[in-house]
Amino acid sequence: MALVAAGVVGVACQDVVSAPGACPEFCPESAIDVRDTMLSTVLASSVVATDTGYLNSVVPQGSYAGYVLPHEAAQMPVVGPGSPVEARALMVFFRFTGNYAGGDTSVKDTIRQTDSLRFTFNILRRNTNVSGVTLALHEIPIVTDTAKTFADMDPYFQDSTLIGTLVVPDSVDSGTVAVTLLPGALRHFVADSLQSGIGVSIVSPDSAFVTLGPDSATPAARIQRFVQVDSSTGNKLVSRSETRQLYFKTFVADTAGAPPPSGLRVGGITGARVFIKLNLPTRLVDSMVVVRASLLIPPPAPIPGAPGDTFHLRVLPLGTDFGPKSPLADPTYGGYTRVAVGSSDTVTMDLTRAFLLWRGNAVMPHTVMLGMVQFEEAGSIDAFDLPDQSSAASRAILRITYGAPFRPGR
Amino acid sequence: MTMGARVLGIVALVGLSAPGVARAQNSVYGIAGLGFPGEPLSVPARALAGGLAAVDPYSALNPAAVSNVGNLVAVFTGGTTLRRYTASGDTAIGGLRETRFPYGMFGGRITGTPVSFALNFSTYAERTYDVTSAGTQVLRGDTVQVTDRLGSDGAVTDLRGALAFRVWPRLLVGAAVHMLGGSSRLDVRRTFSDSAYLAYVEQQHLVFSGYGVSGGFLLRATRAIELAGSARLDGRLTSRIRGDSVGSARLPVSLTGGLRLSPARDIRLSATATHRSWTRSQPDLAASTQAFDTWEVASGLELGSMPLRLGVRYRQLPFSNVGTQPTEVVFAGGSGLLLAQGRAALDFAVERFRRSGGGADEQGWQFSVGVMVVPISLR
Repeated sequence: MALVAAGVVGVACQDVVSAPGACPEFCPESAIDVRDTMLSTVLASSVVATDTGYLNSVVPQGSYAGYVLPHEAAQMPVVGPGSPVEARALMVFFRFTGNYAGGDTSVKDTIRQTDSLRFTFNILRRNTNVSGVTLALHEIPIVTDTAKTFADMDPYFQDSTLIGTLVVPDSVDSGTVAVTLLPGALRHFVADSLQSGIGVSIVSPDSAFVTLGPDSATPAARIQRFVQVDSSTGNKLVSRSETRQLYFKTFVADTAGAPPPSGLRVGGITGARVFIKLNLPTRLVDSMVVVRASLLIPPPAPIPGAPGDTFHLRVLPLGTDFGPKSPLADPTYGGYTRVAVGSSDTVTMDLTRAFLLWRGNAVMPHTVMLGMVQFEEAGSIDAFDLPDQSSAASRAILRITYGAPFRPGR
Repeated sequence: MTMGARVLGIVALVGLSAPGVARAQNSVYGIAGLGFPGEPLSVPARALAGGLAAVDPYSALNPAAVSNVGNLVAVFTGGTTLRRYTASGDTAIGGLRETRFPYGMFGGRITGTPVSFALNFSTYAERTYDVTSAGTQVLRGDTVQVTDRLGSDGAVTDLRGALAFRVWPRLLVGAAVHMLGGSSRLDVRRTFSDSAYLAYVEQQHLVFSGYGVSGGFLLRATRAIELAGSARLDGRLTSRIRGDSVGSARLPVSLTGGLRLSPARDIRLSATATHRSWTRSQPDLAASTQAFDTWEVASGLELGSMPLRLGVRYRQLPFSNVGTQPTEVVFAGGSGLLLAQGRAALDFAVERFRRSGGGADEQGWQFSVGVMVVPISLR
């Protein structure tokens, strides 16, 4: 008997009941009901969202800055004076020592002569429609710090401080460029105990921009010193080099020429973030299966920023909503999209995965953060302004594709 | 082994066929309506294609037959179905296979009384299927390819409690209450060809409930002739998801008549006919589903003391998504033997079925094994 029972159970594990449907005769009469809808109604921008009386599906809460300071930003924008915002990069390198410390023990460490200094910069992106971009390198104080403003640093970007120029080849959209200078070009190099500070600006053409920063293999900038040292036998001079990385970096920007934001601003020099409350029908979150959700945002004006540049705009739900310092949810629940400076096209942000987080979770706020992707945050003059939500013609809306609860026999 | 230990052992065996795991065979005809109607038959009755059902004390059709159970007995069965079908003329599916435990029983004479009781578990309607279909849907102005998968795994189960007693030496009467239960696990998915859409995935637990009553008689007209009749009235079958009702449907009134002839010691002929008014459920079904009243007629022949059983059954099926009613023809055979010095019996049945109509043709085999355990010798 036990054998019979065991045999029967064993066979039971191999059930095969799956089959293609022969519709409509031999398909279940109940159908999956997937619908598409827009959540948009009359809005007063001051409306505080509630689940019971949502007047508007998208309610901006505010624009907040200070999450990433310029010296913490991953990248440094360098923008020419012809743009609405002019930006300059400031860099201070680690100091060299009086002796050679390049790691080659087969030579003696006494430096007989310094031949040259080479500065190498890593370009992350630039406006590719401009040719002949020229960077100007100025010597700046090695005590430059985070408190310095564009105006503070302006005296160091004069002809008297110019130590060299660097033409970015048109063929280089991203990658490294370098310039080699004689040691005497840096007038304070020796006096500053073999430490150097460099400011980078664009001198031509005016509308150009270059974004400097590190990538996975290359630092944002480095300095290389070429020297002559004695060989191990001491009877001849040999050339060696050693490298120093960045000790400090930041950027300064002049925003005086930039038009004021036409709405709550995302990004910009301050890397601002906007929090948006979504007024969602309770039934939509609790009972429906959202298969696609898109936040459609028409820019109120052409997207401001460095001409020809593009940037990533990201959206991410808040873990808890208690103002500007609200923690963000896991990044896997967010999304991002690339937008182009100067475009007036509606920007579509994917919110589908946020609904996975919200479904059946009464604790999670239905508030999302709109900001730049972290790598670009506070390291760009690009920005994105939200439209005025009181205007029915131009406000942001939420487009939801969802499946109604499946009910057998209906 | 004491009597108490034996009874406990029997109860444990019956417990193996509890509602959570017991399900009957699947069918392409089980997709529509309330499901594919189950058969509350013991394995000997299955081997006779159901011809014995009206007079069989170990089947759950006629409560009066419970009076013939005698000593305490436990019965449980298992079965494997192999089938294939063609549908809509161009969809041919083969290699489908299911193993289920569709029937169980525990009962016997209440000591010191003329009353017998039985508790039966059976499948009322099988609701197991897993269907995949493809199509298109226009979303956001674009036509998107979609693939739907609707899976249901479960059944409406019928738990019967029956009492029967001998009114006269030749007349047995019985009555029963039926508690319908069971559940079905729904797995509903839609995937989209456009990866911008997440899959629609919903998993739900559909719980069934309902009640019914039945009554019947068994008359031994002569030593060679037994006549039987029974009626069953069920209420509504209610479906719930997370406690909320999502629908209910009226269930049929069932009328059964049957007879058994024993012209010689080792020859037994039996026949059973049942009518069920499934059209009562029509107002509660989806508009695309057509319900039909059904007739079921079965006849069987049993020969010998280690019997050879043969039978044939014709029945109409109750639901279709088109206007024509499907039917089923079954040829069955089987046998059985006593084990453990008569304290157990092992029966088996083989059924060859063919279902057709409503746009499909389904054929297959059903293999059933039944075990009966008694604390006192069957001899």
